[in-house]
Amino acid sequence: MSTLIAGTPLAGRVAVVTGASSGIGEATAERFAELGAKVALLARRKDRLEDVAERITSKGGIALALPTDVTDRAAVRAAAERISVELGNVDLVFANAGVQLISEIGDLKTEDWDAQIDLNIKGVMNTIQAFVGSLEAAGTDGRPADLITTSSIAATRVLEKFQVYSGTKAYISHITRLLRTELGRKNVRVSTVEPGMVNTELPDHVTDPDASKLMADLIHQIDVLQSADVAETVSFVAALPKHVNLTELTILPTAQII
Amino acid sequence: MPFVDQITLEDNRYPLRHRVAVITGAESGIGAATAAALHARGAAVALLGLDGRRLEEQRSRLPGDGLSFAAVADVTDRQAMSRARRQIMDSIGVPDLVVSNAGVMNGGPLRDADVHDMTQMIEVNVLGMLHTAQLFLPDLEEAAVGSRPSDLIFIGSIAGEVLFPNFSVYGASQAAIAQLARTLRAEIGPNGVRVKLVEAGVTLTRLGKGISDRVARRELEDLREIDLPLTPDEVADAVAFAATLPPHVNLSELTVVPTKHGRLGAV
Repeated sequence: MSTLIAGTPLAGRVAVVTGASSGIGEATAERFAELGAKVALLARRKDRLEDVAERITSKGGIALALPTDVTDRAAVRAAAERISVELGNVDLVFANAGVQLISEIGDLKTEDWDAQIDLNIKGVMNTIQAFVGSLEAAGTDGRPADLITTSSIAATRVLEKFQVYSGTKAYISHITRLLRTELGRKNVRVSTVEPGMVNTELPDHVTDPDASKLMADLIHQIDVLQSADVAETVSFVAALPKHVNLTELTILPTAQII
Repeated sequence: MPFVDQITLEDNRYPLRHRVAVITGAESGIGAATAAALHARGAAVALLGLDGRRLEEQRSRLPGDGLSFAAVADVTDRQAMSRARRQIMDSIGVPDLVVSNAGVMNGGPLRDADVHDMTQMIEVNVLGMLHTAQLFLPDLEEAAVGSRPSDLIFIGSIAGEVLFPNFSVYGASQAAIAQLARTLRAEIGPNGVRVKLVEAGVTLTRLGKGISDRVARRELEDLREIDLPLTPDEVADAVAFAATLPPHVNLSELTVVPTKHGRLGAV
């Protein structure tokens, strides 16, 4: 997509993006850097993370690749310490890492349940615990401060067999509203983005044939979202004047019905 | 292909050039600001509202160099709206970007509410939006053919989601608009029309200026008395951004609030 935001409205910002090795996280990290932010990249896959960092650096941006499993609370905290030393105080957090695994409840794929709860919920909480202090400090100093999460339209839709995934995303959407009650008065903006079908590797991990078909059909039949579309929108949220909080956004392919 | 290159350059500065926008309730507040934001980005704009003098004033202040049009049309008057639609098509073209914004707000305990005030909120906020949507739908669907952008944007309120005691009728009207927008999106999204719902938090506008109930008026004033309030221009920027996204992308719901208002509702 052609970019809509001009200039470097994120100059001076220090950003952290989780799930930065692919998809929405990768595209958003790159866009943050283009718009002037210094960006710390967190994800498990070291090689891919370093590729993203190199691409950002080669275009004149500043990136720090920190291979991190965000389900590991201590590891996220360690990453936060390195970021504050190497890039400065974080004032823009994009807690984006997530996984989608679909199965019937009766199949008792408890490992899949845990994997989603661990990454989509606990991973976001680990990210929050590592950076909320830094965000509050930025807000108190009168600087812009953002906590942005990636939720999903699954948070509000009723999709058969998506029960655990949807539950984790409903958690993310609702905690956004709750965190605003505590962080808003401290000038920290809290936002969540609920995308519909995006062309990422998220569906690649789905083994359930019905769910796979649902998503493959959508990608085949309609013009779905690209990660860059979501990245531009997330960047717009962060680039707004600090007293404006675009707090909940749904972004869908125009032709998607669900 | 130098010609194509020129268009690209031009479109970057004026991403909404070739779009024809209609804004209801355009004489002040979010409506006026949205008309200006769309015009600045290259769109031709039609301003509809009740106050002819203020509409002309807003029209004369439009920042862009595209076409513009203003007419008095009450959104609850189907014939007047239909007439305005024909005038818009004659003067600036077939609309492909409709911002259904006109709304009124009154407040106070329901027990004491004036029947006229209650009815007016439903007529303007709900029926007015229905008339606006239905009248322009054929134009929007036609505009969407060939994957061109086409937008129907409802300006709603967080009062449709969270609870403000003493504003029950207004809240109910906003909940109706929200569900209308969401359902219409699923209904006509496949035809390429991007139906959007913007839920604005407390914004510095004239909305609610006529509230007769003392307590309700005080509550609203308190909500507006923060050090960095949300202004109509900021809501308008979000609307313009959404309209500027590529045609396959629908920013279908967005809630925009002042950062300071952590707790959105009163309850």
